Amino acid sequence: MAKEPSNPTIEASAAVQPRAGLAGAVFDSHEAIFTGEYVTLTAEQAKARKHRGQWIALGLITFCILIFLITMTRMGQNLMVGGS
Amino acid sequence: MDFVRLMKPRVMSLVVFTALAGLVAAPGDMHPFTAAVAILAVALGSGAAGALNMWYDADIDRLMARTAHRPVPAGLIAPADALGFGLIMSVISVMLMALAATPLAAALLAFSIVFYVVIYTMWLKRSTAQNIVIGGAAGAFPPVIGWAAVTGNAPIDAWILFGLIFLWTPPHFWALSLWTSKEYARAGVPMLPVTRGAAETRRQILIYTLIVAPFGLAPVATGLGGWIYLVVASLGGIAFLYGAVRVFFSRAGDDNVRADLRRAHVLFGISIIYLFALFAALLIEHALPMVYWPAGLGAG
Repeated sequence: MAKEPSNPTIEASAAVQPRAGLAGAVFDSHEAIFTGEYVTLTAEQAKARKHRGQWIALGLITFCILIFLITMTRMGQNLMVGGS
Repeated sequence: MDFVRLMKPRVMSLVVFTALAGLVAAPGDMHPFTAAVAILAVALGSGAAGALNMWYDADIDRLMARTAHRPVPAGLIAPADALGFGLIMSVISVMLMALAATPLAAALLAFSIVFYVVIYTMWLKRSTAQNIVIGGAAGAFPPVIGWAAVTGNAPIDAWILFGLIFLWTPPHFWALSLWTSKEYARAGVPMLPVTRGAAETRRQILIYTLIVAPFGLAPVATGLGGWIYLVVASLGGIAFLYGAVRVFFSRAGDDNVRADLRRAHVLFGISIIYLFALFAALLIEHALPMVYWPAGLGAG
């Protein structure tokens, strides 16, 4: 069991109770209330997250480069057509 | 690696190959780089459709041994991740096609993704025994997309290639379903052997093969295919028909008749080689004009 932190801010937020009914659903349900518990990733999960991040970064960079090269190629073709 | 499997790489390879054939067979020039991006867009679009299919079908996939190991039913990828991946890849593929090729090619790519996911996967697959007949149209679009990427239009030759895959899909898939019908029945998917029985499926396979084998020669009539294509389509058509006749006169798919299923396996293999060979012949003839022109058959 995680030890309860003695932080006044956390204690204050934990004291806030969600309002009942529609107002609670709209205004309170998405508010995070700090419980003092943490999720610790296993080494395997951390490695998987790192790999996912690297693949997403690679994908984004490739996408940007592709868009740039397509634009240059199409512009070049249009200029050649216009010039001839 | 699981995300690669989510994109159905084997299906993708056939989709890319037929799209490439359409792109090469189309008259006109396309910059090699934009042509490569157009093919990449088709591959991504195919993968996106595969991912969305696996997301939606996870409930029935886990009931069938053939599909239970797929990433979503096996728990390797969360359904929401598969959905997000499929949607993002769909948008990227259509965007790339629109930028690199033509608006028509991008529109056809978008339509084929929607057709496969919404019309086939979500609607037809679970509601009618004709699911694979109508749904097969989604897999028939790639050569038309490849053609439209070059020319910006889709003439009769492009639609002949569409018709070829469209008519080829039912006998190809029903051959597979003859030995997987029990799994489909368990999952509640109304494949033809489940709803109409194995005998009717064997009859339908023969009927469709009798149509597709002569239809395979249509590109020669319009000048799209030359003498190499003529030889390949003739021999391939005979082999395809031979396989279908052997299945028709067998008891493949009947209860407790496992020996005859080998004929269905053989037909399934022949059908794949047949389609691959036809599009390979078109590719050779149009990519290597020196082989093609001396014959004097067809136009370049």
